[in-house]
Amino acid sequence: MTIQRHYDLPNCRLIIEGWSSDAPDTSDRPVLSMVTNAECHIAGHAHPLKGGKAFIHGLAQTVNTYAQGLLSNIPRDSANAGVRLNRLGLNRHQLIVQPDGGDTNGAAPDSQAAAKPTEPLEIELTTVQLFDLSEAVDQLVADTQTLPDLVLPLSSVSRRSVVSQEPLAQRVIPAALGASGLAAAAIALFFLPPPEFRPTETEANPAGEEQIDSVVETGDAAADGPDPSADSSSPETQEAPEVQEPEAQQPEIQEIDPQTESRAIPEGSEVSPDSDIEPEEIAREATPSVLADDSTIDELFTNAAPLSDGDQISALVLQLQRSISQEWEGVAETDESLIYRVGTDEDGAIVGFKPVNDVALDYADQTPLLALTQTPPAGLGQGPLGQFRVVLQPSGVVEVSPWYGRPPEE
Amino acid sequence: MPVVLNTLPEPARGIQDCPKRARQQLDLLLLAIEALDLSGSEALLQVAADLNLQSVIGDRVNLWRLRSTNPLRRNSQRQPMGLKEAKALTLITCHLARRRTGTIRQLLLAHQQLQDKQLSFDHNFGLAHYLGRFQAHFHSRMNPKRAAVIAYRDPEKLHTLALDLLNQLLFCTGTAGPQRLWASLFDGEVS
Repeated sequence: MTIQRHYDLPNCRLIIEGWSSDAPDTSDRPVLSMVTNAECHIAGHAHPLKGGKAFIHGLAQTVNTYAQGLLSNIPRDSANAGVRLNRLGLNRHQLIVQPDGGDTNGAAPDSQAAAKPTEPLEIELTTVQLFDLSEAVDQLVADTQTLPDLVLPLSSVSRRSVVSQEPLAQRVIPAALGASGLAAAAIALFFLPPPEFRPTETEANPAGEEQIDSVVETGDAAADGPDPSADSSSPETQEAPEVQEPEAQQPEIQEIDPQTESRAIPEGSEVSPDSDIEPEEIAREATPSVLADDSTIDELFTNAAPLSDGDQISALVLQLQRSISQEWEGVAETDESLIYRVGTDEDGAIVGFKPVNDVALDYADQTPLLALTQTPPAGLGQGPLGQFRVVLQPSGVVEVSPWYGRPPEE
Repeated sequence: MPVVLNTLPEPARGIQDCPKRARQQLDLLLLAIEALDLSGSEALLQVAADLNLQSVIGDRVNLWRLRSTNPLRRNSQRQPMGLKEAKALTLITCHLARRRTGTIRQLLLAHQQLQDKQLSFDHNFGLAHYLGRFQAHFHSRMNPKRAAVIAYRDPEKLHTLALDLLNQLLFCTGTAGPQRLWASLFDGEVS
């Protein structure tokens, strides 16, 4: 028994013909489960859209998807190839129906679609017409007695399918911006010098000694040339035995000044005013008689790895102070402190020392340091070196502090 | 929880509250309804009562706070809108739209006729009235400093928005209107 169902809206009439596949249903309104023919009459268009099961399923799916896209303004492609909808404007929509091949069950021969089987049928709809079509489909779907297997999957569009609707060029822009930004940052950072680690010295130098230190260091830096390790590890008190000719030295000091300043040494600011010190003075300071031949100590102080264990440094400070105090009885001829840079091995044995100020140089032979200094063993310079600042007061007091300060607490 | 809310399914897992675009869309649809009908805001509370949604919507102040979660609002509230409240507003919007189906269809037909004859909106009183009221509502309630609102200073664009909302309201009137609107609110938000 053929069943016909009508869904009437002002601008659209949907007619479904088919039969019930189940056993004869005695109820008033039997279930229409097999569709043989479907017609969709749109007001203003003489020829109805016709088709079979594929047509009505495609129509339902496409109209539903499109209507949801209208509500969210996020269009989504319908997966159905048979029926398509395109938006032409605010109020205009284009419905394109591909002819239904072989599924029309004899209804096709007299339809327009069958007359031109390869030509898709295009209909322009207003929003109200489209709504009526959508409503007719919704009523058909809501009708449990007609095509119960027709359900509309009302689901939200996934984020992925929204993204994929942007053109490739637009999707590439953020990535390109990020990559070029990174490149620009890398180029800019390439010109910046790596930051230097410079532990601050806790004990302040007496002002007079600082000035001399700076001058000596400047001369040394000029003589050594661009040796980055020497610059960074012991920039303060390098002696420069090589510096013999003040005339040649003077311009180089000027040249080095900006560099020392740019390294932001606290004493660096005092270098510039000092550069007008008499060349003879520089020469006198820079040519120590005692240690002129002892460039290995310079090298040692410069290159040896410093001790890093805070406890060990503290122990060595105590040990050094005790051993020097036992021997140091003070000096009567001067009232200035004697300052030395002393290097020890890990056990606290003195392996070398350097006078820091000129008094220290003058009275070096009266200190116990020479006597306490061990003959450097063959493997010297391999292990870490403890460096200390030893201040011998003329009164006989000994002060010892780590040259590089104490490492920060963990 | 009111039973009527169960007619709308839970969105995908992981969505706890209403996305930004959904809050904006719900408020703008209600704004369009208010532009259609002078008594729109009163009707809104009445429909909430009819649908037994008072426990969700609450009083006038709470309704205002819910609608102010629209980021375009002048006094936009930064608090989120829960799914329960969003469902209630969806149902109310569709209910109000369905009551005004006739008006909405008339206005859309009028717009289409004006377009066909290439006439301006002023030639249809109803349409001009709706657009004017929507424009006034929009400018008085939306934050003029927001970039998205600045774009609507152009009357042409605001008219397009108002007509687009009218189109959307028509689809809200349908049999599956609430479910379709609800699904559309999360378009592009689910993974």
